[in-house]
Amino acid sequence: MTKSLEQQFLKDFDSNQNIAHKICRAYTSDSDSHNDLFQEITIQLWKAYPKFRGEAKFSTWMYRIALNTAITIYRKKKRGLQVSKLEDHNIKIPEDTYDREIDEQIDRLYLAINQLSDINKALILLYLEEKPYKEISQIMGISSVNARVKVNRIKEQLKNILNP
Amino acid sequence: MGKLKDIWKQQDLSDQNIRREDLKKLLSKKSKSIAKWILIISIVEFVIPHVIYLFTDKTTIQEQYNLIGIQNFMYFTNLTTYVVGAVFVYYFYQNYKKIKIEQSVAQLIDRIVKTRKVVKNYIYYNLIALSFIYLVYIVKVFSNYDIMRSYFNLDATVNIEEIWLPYLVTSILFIALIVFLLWLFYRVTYGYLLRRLLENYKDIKN
Repeated sequence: MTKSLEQQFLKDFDSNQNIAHKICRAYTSDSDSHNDLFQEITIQLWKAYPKFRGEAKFSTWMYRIALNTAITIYRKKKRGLQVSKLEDHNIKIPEDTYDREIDEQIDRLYLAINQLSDINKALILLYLEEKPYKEISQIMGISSVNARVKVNRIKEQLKNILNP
Repeated sequence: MGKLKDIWKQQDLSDQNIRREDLKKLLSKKSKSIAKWILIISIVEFVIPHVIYLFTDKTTIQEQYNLIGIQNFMYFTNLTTYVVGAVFVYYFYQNYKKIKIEQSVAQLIDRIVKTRKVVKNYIYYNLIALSFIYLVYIVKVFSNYDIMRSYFNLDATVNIEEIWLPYLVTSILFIALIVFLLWLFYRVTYGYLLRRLLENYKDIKN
């Protein structure tokens, strides 16, 4: 039973790993912390998995737990440095497939997201993932209207960071 | 903003993906979550006053109570402390049980803050009770010269009227310092765990 649950979990998680990586990158500033947070998210998902009964989509459920872990229950390592270091996230990509421009733009976007507050990071992440406001409101626990207002505010903030 | 979404979509995360066998290894790792720390620190805060009491010299304390004439008062105070402590532990447990990772972000933060508030109120209750007991002590000791003489081990040559005020001020300052240090210790542990959480709490509520 446990074995099949584990297999099922690994299958579900594996196909949604991207979610965890994006959250880790938004909430940490180096690869060590990234891995540390990724590990904690994995553990929390696995611990909660027996109670997941498929009422919500796996991805919605996963966003909720992963964001709760990143925002609330994960203890950041003391590192002082808040802003992401480009080189930390930019390894292992072979030269020939390296799309420099796109990669730089993604880095710039993450650098900007890194400067937002914990809650705002979550909201803009969900917005960029094209989640409908109803789903954002379910994940965050605020009303759809409030979510929309907040996201609009954060978009302005992000614009100012990207084009000062 | 549409452009940002386009950029976002082009993220290639395939190089970061962890193989299933390695994911499996992660499942057996220990969690480093703050929820565990909240439980541990809260239990320590509940237990510490009682542990300190266990290690005090009860005969001397009883003698002091008898000398000052507050045996009955202290008996009821101790009884109250245990009853109130049990009520707080019950509420703490009820709240702690409701902390669940699959709640929404706002709900989870709210639950943790509420759980810690129970501990906060328990600490404040203790500080107020402690100050009140000290106050009774002071009133009893300083209102009777004989009690004061034996309490401070003063011999007959000492003129009580001369030392009354400096002794009173020193005692009050000493007690204020103890209560302040206990409060400070609590603020540090509370802030250590909750600073970031409270910021997020404000952020999501406004």
